[in-house]
Amino acid sequence: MKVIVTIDGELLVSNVASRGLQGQKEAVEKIVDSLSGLLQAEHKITIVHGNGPQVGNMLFRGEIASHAVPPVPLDVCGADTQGATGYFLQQSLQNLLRRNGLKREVTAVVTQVLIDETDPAMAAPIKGVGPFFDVERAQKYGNTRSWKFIMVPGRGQQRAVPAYLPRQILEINSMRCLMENKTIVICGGGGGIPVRYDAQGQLTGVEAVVNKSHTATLLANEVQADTIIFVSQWEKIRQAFPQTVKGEFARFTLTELKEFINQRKDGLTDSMYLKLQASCKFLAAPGKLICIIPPEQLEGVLIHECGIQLISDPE
Amino acid sequence: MSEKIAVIAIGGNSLVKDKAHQSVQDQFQAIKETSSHIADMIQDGWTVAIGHGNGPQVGFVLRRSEIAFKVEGVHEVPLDVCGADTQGATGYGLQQNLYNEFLERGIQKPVATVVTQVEVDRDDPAFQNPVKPIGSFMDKAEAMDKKAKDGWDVVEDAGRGWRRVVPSPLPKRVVEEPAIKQLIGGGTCVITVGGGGIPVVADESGKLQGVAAVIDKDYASSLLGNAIGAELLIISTAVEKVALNFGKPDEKWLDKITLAEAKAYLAEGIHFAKGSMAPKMQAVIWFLERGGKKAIITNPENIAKALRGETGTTIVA
Repeated sequence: MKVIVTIDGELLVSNVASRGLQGQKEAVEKIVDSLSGLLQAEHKITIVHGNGPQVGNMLFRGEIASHAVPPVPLDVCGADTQGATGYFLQQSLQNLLRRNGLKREVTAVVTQVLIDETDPAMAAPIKGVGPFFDVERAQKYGNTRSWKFIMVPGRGQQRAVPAYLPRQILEINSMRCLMENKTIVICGGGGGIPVRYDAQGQLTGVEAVVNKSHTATLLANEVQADTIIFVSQWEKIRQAFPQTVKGEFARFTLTELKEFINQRKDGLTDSMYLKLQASCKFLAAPGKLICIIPPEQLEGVLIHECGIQLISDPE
Repeated sequence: MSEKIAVIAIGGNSLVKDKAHQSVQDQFQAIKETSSHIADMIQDGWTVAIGHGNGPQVGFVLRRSEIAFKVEGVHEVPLDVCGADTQGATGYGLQQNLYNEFLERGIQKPVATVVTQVEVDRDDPAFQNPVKPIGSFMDKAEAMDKKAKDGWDVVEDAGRGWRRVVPSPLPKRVVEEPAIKQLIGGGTCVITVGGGGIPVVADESGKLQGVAAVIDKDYASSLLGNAIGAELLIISTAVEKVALNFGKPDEKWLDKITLAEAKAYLAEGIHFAKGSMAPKMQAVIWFLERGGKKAIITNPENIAKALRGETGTTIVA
């Protein structure tokens, strides 16, 4: 089975911000270790990862140090995180494969994504990135640096940046080449580096981020994947699907999912809404499966019934 | 699929021209110029893997990390991760500019950056003798604190203050070599071994782990060239040609020499600057000894002319 595993950026950092990059490395190793079930079953895996906390840290560092070192535009910050998170993921996967005696290659590919400029709603600063601040400090940065903030319940104020929907993955041919050789590809980090064509028809970066759930479904369609696994925190899944409690399981057909979205729309976070919206697109084709699961259940996914399963409408 | 495979190692000058042109926009402009020279080669039928330096870029990432930690307590970035960061960012710059070049010329050629680890021997003697300065100058107290708390090797730099030093071990294996071969085989222009690769060591069981070190990007590009069966290695640097007795009254520019001559000149120890042209010549020698056919050392703007034999220094096996 061809599977796109999409991992939220929050799951690739430590809960304790001060644990820094070592904490990130350990968080990545933990998630990757729970992919061994999928790897053992010889599924063809591609990994797409978020980068909210990582890209925000990079942007923050660049701005604090801008008096001494040239600052980094947000698209380049995204490229930075594709390098760093790609490195952690690929090393952890290589180590896991070797431990399990599996011979597969792994590689992270820097990915540019052409954005959909026609959707003005998406260009708004809605995506939270980087560290959390108290109200006082958020106000300070709002005044001195013109940052916009969103309130994340239980965590604090987080800087908000524009997020776009993806239209085209520019490195898709290279990815296909690797996948045909059974290589595990890590790509579309942070949804991809957002780019557009300028007036001269040249590709140029956009200071924004891209929604990774939509990038994952775009990729899945491009490479004819059967299944997408969205790995997300339990709290977020539970908040969106209140009827599920730990250990329980729910399944929706596309028709049921659309109905659910209509009813729950106001109760869904932007991130979950976009996940479900992207899911609807993917499930429009017959025979497709999406699993939304917490990392704790990743090991048993596609083996046991777990998390939220979304399926195409029966023909 | 093209039979002609080349590796081109581009130097820091292709990315940061001088102190007045360090911004990301300036770097993209410099990359754009180099990309057009690389596109010339690709148009001539070469399949190219590109290695690049990252000295200034790693310095920027480290400096941002140091400042953000001191001012706002943002966690610091370890050296191996700094390298990975720069592979992402510089790879992005190269792949975007090459994409644009191909688009303008109507060339159908995929281009992609591969995040690349390079394995070094954990018993490499370089680990006993860290000499490569990295990061900002510190006062003695801070240097001693870092030494005690983080295990840094620190040295005093001729009255200018204290600096961290890291080892520069030799590259042994490009970890992502099979994937790079797959891409090259499929005709993709691959950007890889950025900054010489992210240095990793394997433990007894083969488990990989990053180390605080830097790898010479010309050595890594040379190794990569042999691994992917390249016939040509181009080392793109700040000078048009290599000179014997460089900077001396009897300076002599080299057009075409053999591997045997290159080895003899290098062994004389007086011709090529240590830490500059000497390791480039060494990288070329290893490449030719391990199966490469030809190597060229020149500056980016003369790559096409050097390929026609009109300039540059060519070294043949």
